[in-house]
Amino acid sequence: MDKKLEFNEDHKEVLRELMNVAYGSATAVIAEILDAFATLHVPKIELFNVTELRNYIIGKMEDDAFLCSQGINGKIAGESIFILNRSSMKNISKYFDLDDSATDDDLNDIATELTNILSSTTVGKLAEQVDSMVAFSPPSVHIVNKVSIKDDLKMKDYSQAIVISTSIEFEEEHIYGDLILFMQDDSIVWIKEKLDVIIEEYL
Amino acid sequence: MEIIFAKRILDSMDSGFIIVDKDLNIKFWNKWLQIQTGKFAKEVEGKKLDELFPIENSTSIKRKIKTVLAMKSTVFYNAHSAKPLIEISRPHITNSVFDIMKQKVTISLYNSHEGLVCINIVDETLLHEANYRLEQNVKSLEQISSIDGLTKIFNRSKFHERINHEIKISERYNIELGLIFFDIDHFKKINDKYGHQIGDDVLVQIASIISSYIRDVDTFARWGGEEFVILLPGSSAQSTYKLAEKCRLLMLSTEFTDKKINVTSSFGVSNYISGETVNKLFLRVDKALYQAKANGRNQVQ
Repeated sequence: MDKKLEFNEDHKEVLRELMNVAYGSATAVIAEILDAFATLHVPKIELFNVTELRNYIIGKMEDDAFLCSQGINGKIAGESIFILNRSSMKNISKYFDLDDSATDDDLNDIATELTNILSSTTVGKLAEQVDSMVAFSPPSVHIVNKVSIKDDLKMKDYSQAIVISTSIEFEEEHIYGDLILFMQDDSIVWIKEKLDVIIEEYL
Repeated sequence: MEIIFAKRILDSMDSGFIIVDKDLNIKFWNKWLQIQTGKFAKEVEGKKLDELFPIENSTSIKRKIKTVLAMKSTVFYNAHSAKPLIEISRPHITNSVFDIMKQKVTISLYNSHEGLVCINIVDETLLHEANYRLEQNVKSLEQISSIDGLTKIFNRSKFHERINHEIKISERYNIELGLIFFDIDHFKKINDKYGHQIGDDVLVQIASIISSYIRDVDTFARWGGEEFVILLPGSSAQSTYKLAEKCRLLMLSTEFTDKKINVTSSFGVSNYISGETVNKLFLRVDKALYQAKANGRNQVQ
């Protein structure tokens, strides 16, 4: 792959640190919005080449999952997708005033809301730390399974993705989901420049 | 106050703008809204939005406003449903589908220090009407065609065509004609438990295994939902019964989808009686199916 699109180890370390901070404030916001006490587990943050990503996703998801995507515009441009297994969705739905009778449409609404919160806070915070602004397109959600996902995910426009494997504990419920940020090639180049500045200042 | 400066721009826009605080107190109500709702700014400013209009889920919108204030970014109120925030009726004379405006509603940060957000309401009814018409066209096309979209076997209308034809042949040449009607027991429970995607996969798999079981001359079709029919020209009453029983056992012994779901089905069988109408035949088969269900399902009657 194109050298100028690769992150070296220093870049990865700084990026992980920035994402950690961004993600931390995102989960704090969720807890505040939902009026619920939440324990956040330090997420595992990995950079993936997009070619490896599909198998990774298929390996982690249960058969029935909600895939919610949102476009990101600005210097950090690309898309975020949030994959939540149905069991986690059911767990979290009570915090959104829904019970067992929740329909797929109701769950779609929550998935969208959750994605909006997680992805815009995380990416928003990240943008803040690298001095830029971002805007988001309205999210869309699909119900996917291991077979349909091959068609649902068209990743060929991207070369790199940041995968944040999340786990949020709300009292008795556990939510496991993956937030994946796809960045366009120019954004990768731009972020690398910003990371280089940070590396110089601190390392 | 700052709102006065924004007023001119917001009043000139062709969509609704409401500035509210976290308790839905209205600070500003733009011209578009005054025209669409018939409520003047001075009637509503200072009052609560959910007291003036019946809002379906005011906890939800308040939570979204909280999100905007906490995240300092924009939130989409109804990304999918186009459920209106405020019901505004649309006057129409001809050709429209929806009486109530379909709305795209977004909430963005207006003033962080004062805890104010701006709700934008855009009229998307025309877009939804165009989509609705497209969907209707697809449905009509599906009906004209002979194939059921999901399972790819014949659809109901093709089946009707076939049965009418086979009855004529049966009469003319004095050939026997068998009819099997079956449906999946407790299918709704499968959908509820595993989701509609899996439910659909089960139907597709059923269509596939039964298709490979019947003869070339038989017609197998999806009647609707989780109901299927098989038409068997040249089949005696006994043979028809036997095939139905074989199908029932085949379904019973199959584990469907990789979730390995077990499925039972109820069958009604009947053979054509010379001189009777299609409807009469269907009535008898239907009655038989009903009997199977009443007797505890997972059987052939």
